[in-house]
Amino acid sequence: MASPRLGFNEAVALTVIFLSVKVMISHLALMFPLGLSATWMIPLMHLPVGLIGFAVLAWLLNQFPGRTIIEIGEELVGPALNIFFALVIYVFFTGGSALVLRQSAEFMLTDFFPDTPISVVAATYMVGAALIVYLGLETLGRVARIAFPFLIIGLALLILLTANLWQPHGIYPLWGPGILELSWVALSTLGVGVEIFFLALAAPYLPQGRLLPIGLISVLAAGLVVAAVILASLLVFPYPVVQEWTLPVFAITRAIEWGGFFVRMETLFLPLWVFSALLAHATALYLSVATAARALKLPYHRPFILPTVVLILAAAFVPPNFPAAMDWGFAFLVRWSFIFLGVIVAVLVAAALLRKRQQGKGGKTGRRPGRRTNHT
Amino acid sequence: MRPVIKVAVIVLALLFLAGCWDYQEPDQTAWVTAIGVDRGRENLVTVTLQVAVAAQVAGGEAGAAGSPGETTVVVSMEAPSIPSAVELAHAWVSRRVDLSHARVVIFGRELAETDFERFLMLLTRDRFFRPSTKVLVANGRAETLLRQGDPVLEISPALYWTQQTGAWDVAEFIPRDGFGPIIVDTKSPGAAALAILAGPEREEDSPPDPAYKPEGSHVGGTVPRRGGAKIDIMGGAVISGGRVVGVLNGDETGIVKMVRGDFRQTTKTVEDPLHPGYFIVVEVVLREPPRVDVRIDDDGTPRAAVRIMLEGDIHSIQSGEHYERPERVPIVERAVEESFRSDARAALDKAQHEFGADVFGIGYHAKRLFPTWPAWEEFAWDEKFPDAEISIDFDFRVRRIGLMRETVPLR
Repeated sequence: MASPRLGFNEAVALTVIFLSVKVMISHLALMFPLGLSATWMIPLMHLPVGLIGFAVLAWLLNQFPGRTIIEIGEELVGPALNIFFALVIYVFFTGGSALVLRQSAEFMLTDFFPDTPISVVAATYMVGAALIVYLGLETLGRVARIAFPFLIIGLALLILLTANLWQPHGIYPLWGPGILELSWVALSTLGVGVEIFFLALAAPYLPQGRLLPIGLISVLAAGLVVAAVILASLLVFPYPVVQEWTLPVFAITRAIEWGGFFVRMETLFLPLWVFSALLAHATALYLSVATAARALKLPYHRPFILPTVVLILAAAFVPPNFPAAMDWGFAFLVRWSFIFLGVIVAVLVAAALLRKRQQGKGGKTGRRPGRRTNHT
Repeated sequence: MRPVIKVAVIVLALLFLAGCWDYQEPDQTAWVTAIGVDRGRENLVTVTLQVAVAAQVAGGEAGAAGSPGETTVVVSMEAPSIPSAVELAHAWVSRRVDLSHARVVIFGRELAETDFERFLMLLTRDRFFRPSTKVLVANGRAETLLRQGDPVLEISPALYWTQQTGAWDVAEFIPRDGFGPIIVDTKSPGAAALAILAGPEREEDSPPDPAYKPEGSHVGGTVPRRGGAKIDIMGGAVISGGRVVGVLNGDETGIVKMVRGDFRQTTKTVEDPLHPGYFIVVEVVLREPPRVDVRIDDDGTPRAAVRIMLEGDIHSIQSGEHYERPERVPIVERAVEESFRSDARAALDKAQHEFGADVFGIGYHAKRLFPTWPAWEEFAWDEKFPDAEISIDFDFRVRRIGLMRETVPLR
């Protein structure tokens, strides 16, 4: 069976959507109490770390062309430790997807479908995600590529339509909690960018030699998108009011008012939430099942789709309520994820460097020929 | 994927498009267009709902303005909270009560002066209300206001409220903000909020006194008029510390709007400086956004200099004096500026010494001087505002003189 191919634009579109989808859930609401009026600077402060971090990850992946991070891990640290790493990655993306799913579903209930059972909303999301993942990485990439311009234009339109409500004092005092405090907040929320890990599993299917630009462009674009949304939220509802909303970007959508008739625009922008969340769920599901398939050396990921969907749906209902889902999601995905995945990457990079050094002493090149696994 | 599976998936998806749980039939819904909240008589609050009579609103001729068909029905109930009252309404409203089209929420003044915040907060959390929903404070009871508030000139009660409160851009005496900005002003250090003040039409005329009074010297419920709608909207209720602390008349509200940059236009009638007892009428619009310069003295006293740039057209010169001539135009300009200065002094005096609340939002300009939030909060602007040295100056330029180049005297 032919190996799937993910084009440059498709990879960028998918990665940017996956990285930016956090503006559509409640993570932002929990960022404002930390960054105050300077919250918009936090994604910009994340950018240098994100760009350097991805450059390191790309270096590691480029040492082993044609392999994913799972196979690279087996090569570098052996199967025993690697299966533990794979398990951490699987649990992270499955658990993270569950928490995001719960928030997406709760949002739909709170604002659009109050009488619809939450299980129906969550299951609908996951059926869509499962279908896309079943069809494979290429389908996922193409759907993202097609949806990307609509999502970006939609988001830009949403922000511009709030322009008549902007209150310039919203970004003052400029440094929010203070530069030191702000730097610490940026450091402690680096997890917002771990979705870039998607490329570590999609690397073999990307155009040769384009991994680094794909990652750098995606990180840069996502950082700017998130900063723009935060800035618009602050300008419409200056701190401290902006921290009251469960979903700030939805709050500014509800605020749109151009005359007496151009109001109640949130329904117009509903597809933004639905499609960005659907693509994010599908990407997270793909990551989980691809990790499981690679770790168990299976050529197909499809057998893992149904069990993983069931796991995600079950885990989504573990938080007893919406506030718990928000708090857990923020702690798990924003606060701690960088530690989990960062340690794995750091260990692998250290192992790669060590091996390179040893091989250098032994007169070997350190590069091994790549091997593509046929996944669909 | 096989075609059979594709078709099955599409058919399955179609089933969801129609909606199952959240459908709502318009003819089974009672659309609330206005909500009144007062201190309760037999429970915590009296909630009054103005419900649109959809058949009359949609009926065109039958419900046309001026016809006997009423387009609204008003019900009041005693309840512990607004959502409880909405549920209670189903005891005698046959349709499902829906607040999503409520254009205004009116708070009775007694409640607004004591427990405003706790009821205002509902608007933030409840999905039925959006930030553009207008908040009104009744100069009296909201229930009385809504019982008298039948739409005039409009068939739709929702449109009536939209149009009535939307006149802020042609009348300086109507505040602009919906509940979104009001929430921001109420919860941010450095500003107080201004809500629309409404009152029931006064029952008796004042004693005869045909002396000059600016049209904006009134508040809702005291406007000298006869006929038309039973509700006046004029002036603003100043909200600070979670309650209404006082009211501004129409002219003072106009000054606040100018400083905040919300002002669009007004008609100013000023006494002719060369002919006492005669008046000059000018149409005034904003020329540039207001300039607000704030600095903090070494002793911590804030100093603010506000400059309002206006321009306008001469509508009428009763005395026939040739103010249209270029060299004489400044006489009109100075007279208009002095009239605005007088309004500004009154508004400033009330804000600083009567209410102790920065309804002008000058604090929003001051906070730019502070690098961090802790420093800004420590400065405690709201405490320093009453002692701040604030000047509001006006620069008015006459641009046009109407259709007449000069006035030829009557003989």
